[in-house]
Amino acid sequence: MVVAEIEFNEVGFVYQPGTPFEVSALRNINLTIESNSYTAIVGHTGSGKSTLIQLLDGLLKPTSGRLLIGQSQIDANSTNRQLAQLHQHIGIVFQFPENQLFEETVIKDIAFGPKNFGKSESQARELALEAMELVGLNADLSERSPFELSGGQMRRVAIAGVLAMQPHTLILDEPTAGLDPRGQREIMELFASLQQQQHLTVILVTHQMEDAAQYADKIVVMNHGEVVKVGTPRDIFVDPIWLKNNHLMVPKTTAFAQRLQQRGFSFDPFPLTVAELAQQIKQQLESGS
Amino acid sequence: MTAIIRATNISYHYPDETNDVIHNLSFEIKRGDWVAIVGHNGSGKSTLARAIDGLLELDQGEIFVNDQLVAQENIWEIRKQIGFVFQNPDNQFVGATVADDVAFGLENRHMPRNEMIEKVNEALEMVEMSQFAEREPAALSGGQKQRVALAGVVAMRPDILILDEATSMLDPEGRESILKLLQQLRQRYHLTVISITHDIDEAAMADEILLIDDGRLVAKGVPNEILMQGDRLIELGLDVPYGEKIKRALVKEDLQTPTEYMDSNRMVDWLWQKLNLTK
Repeated sequence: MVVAEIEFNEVGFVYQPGTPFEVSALRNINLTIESNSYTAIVGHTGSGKSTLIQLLDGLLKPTSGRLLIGQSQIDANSTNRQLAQLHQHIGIVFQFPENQLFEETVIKDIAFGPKNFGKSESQARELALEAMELVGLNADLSERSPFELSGGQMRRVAIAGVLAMQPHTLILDEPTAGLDPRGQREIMELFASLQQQQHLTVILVTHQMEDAAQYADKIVVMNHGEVVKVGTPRDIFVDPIWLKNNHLMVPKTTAFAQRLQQRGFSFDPFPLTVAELAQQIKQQLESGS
Repeated sequence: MTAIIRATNISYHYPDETNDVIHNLSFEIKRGDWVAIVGHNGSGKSTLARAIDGLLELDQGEIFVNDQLVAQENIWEIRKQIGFVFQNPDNQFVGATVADDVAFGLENRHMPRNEMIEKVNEALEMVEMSQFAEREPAALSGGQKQRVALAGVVAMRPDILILDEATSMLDPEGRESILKLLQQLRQRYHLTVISITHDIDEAAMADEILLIDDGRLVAKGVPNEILMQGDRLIELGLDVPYGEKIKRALVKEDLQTPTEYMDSNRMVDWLWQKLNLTK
């Protein structure tokens, strides 16, 4: 049986409740995220994605319902202390995380979190060195200033800082924004291998439907503060009209396959990758379909 | 003379480094063209943009803008002709409201108030942001912010618009809408556009592509020539355009494919014809 690591139970969140500015950001969220899974959360700007990850990271608490994370339960009555504990086990990589680097050296920056949570100087340093290795940063860089590094390397330093806290869950908020294509590929491969080799639970919030299709086991679609669909990439991307109605971009391969369908090709199963698409095209061209 | 920008053998290195960030670059940009300068992060493409704007003292070579040599003496004269939009819109806002922000550059030129208001309104209308005139810039989405930044630049009526990764922080929808807007602005104001980018779809919209790697010009040509060199693009840390990606995957399946550049539309047409031949 799969251990249910994270469970949203009728979770709702209202900003400024009881005031004229009351805004309901999340409604009736029921969602299970299994341990060691890779989940993508997609939805247009304002769909509730950011509120959802702030709840997971303990930055907000639900105004209704409850959130179960491992053994702990978070609800409207949870104390700040309980929220802080949550924060320790859930690592979040915000957009442009390199903007938050501040220490003189790479190693100090990465060791800051563990030290702050009570690790000794040498333990924190040890964790920082391990994290550098995990993200593919050479140990030679440890005494360099993070600000001398390239954009891609700075982002790795920021990610190492999150990993040094030894989280069981990693939340990624648009982690490749602003990187060039090679940098984007490398960072996405890094997260995939962390999930598989370090047995992390990965939650990816993204506008890049290609990444969601390629890396996630499960995709959660949000719209107007509600979860409107949960499924495998194939379940989600099989229906381009539904995607458009929910303000989502259609992955390039889905859009391309759909155009070919209108011209007499047929696809089953619906291709998610260029390689799958090419194989099915070949079969049809050779068999005369 | 049709070249609006001409660079001859320019080189530059940062004071505390030994390697050139741009090395012996020569190129011409034709008036009214859209030119994409393409390379991975750190390839030297942004430095090149700064050189055109006279922000760097070159080690070697010369740059001419509208036949004027870019030099310290005429730097303000040069900059009047060039508008910049940068990657992070948050770093370029100065006004408390959207309208104030668009007015900032005009105010600095001591434009009479009535004329200024007219110019600001026109610019906001052009970028479809009129209804946001009194909003705080910080409350806008990324795409809206870049629209406001474009309005501020276009209101100054530059000859040349330089976009330094201006769409790379936007979501796909925001990116598409900004690129569409650029097409309109370019026609309406007869702009020469230089877009510095690593986005291959953005590059495909240009009249000409300059491929930069390690501060050197490694290839130059129309998009059709450059974008079909998939191996080279990958080697340079870039992406392959989608139609060409399909072509490469079909080649792997041992299918005969056309030798010329295939964008997505042509690929759909070509596959449809192939399918009909098999029937």
